[in-house]
Amino acid sequence: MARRMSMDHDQIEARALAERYVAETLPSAEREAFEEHLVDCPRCLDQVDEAERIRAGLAALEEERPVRLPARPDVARLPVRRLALALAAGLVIGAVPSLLVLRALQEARGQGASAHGAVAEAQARAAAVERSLREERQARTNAEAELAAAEQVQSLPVLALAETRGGDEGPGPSLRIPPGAPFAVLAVETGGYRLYAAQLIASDGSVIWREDRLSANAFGVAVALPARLLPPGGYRLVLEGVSGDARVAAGRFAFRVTAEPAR
Amino acid sequence: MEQGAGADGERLARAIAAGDRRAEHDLVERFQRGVRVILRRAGASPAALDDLEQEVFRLAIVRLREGALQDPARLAGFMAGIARNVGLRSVRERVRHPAAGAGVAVQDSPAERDDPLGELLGREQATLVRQVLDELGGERDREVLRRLYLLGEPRERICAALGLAPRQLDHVLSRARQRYRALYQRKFTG
Repeated sequence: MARRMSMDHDQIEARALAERYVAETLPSAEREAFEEHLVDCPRCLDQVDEAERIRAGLAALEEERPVRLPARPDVARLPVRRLALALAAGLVIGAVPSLLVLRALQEARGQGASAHGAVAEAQARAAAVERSLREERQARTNAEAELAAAEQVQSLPVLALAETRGGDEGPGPSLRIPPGAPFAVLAVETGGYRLYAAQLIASDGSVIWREDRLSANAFGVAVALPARLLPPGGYRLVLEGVSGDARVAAGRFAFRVTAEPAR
Repeated sequence: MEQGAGADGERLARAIAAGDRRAEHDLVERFQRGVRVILRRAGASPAALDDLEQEVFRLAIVRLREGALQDPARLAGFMAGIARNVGLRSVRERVRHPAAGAGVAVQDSPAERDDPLGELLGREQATLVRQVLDELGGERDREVLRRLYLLGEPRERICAALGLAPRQLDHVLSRARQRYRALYQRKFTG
């Protein structure tokens, strides 16, 4: 490995290395060079500790902000019907304040231009209604975002697996994962056990996911896996029924993952 | 790195290679804090930190005893590299074998979310940071701290975005850090 350039503290301060290290925005070469210095430098360790504390404080303050859209909606908890209703309600509710604004303005006009107090009052009412309109618009935007997230859940790729008899022959069915899908679901019809141990094995033999106590329902087991664990290629899902301490082979399910071309 | 640390490191590496057990103890004492920071920043789970730290020193001492470090002056880089690799390997293991649970594999949750102590720390720090922000007053100064500490932007980008001269940025940061340190010392060290 090539000898790294040594760092001095003026340089570290000028490039805000401690703060950027904690925020994880340093390019990897700069990060490694900084770590090489940091590991043996009490002064920079103090600075990193301080940056971590200030960052934690700022992050906690950001989370306390009352109005904000979730960066990553918890898609699993979004009932589609409720969201659709919320969206529809938002559309209706959104229309009502507009009418109120118009009516308030009409009322103000009807009371005569000379009645300054009445006009001011009407303007205040109109402003209040406009504020309400803005809030409703925001609620509608939120509902639309949630609905979009819920639709994403509905479009999760799901693959029903059938047992591969006699070992590993054949590639099995294909699972096409659309770009941007967060999860893919594997569904297996099983019987006989309430608990299963599962392993997902890639074509090179490496175990990429494992679960020792997977609960089955009346129809079988379903496993939702992050899509990024499943690049295109061949896989085997191996299930064993769990009974006390004993495990009994319950099936091997081969399948392939293919990439869906980006639209 | 302190002056002469490279030479000290070299002596340490040579002493361990020569079988000096006291030097192994010194190695742990000297690099322990830095190793823990690198493990943490690599994404190691707080619950596993003690075990991973031991693993780093076990690997380092075995290799140093074997004389595997070709350039003993690069002891710091050697230790940082092992810590980084052990930390990253632990993250990969966690992704591949998540804890037994509900049959739905939820991966890559930030370590902080599983760390009640980390959350408590965040809340306490929020109180201090809020005080600092209140005292700083201006929205622009708050934005400086947000961009530096939360977004990790380089100084020149912060200056360009907020129309600040480098000296003005230094002034804002220096004021904020001084105030933060005073509040922190008062709260945590009496």
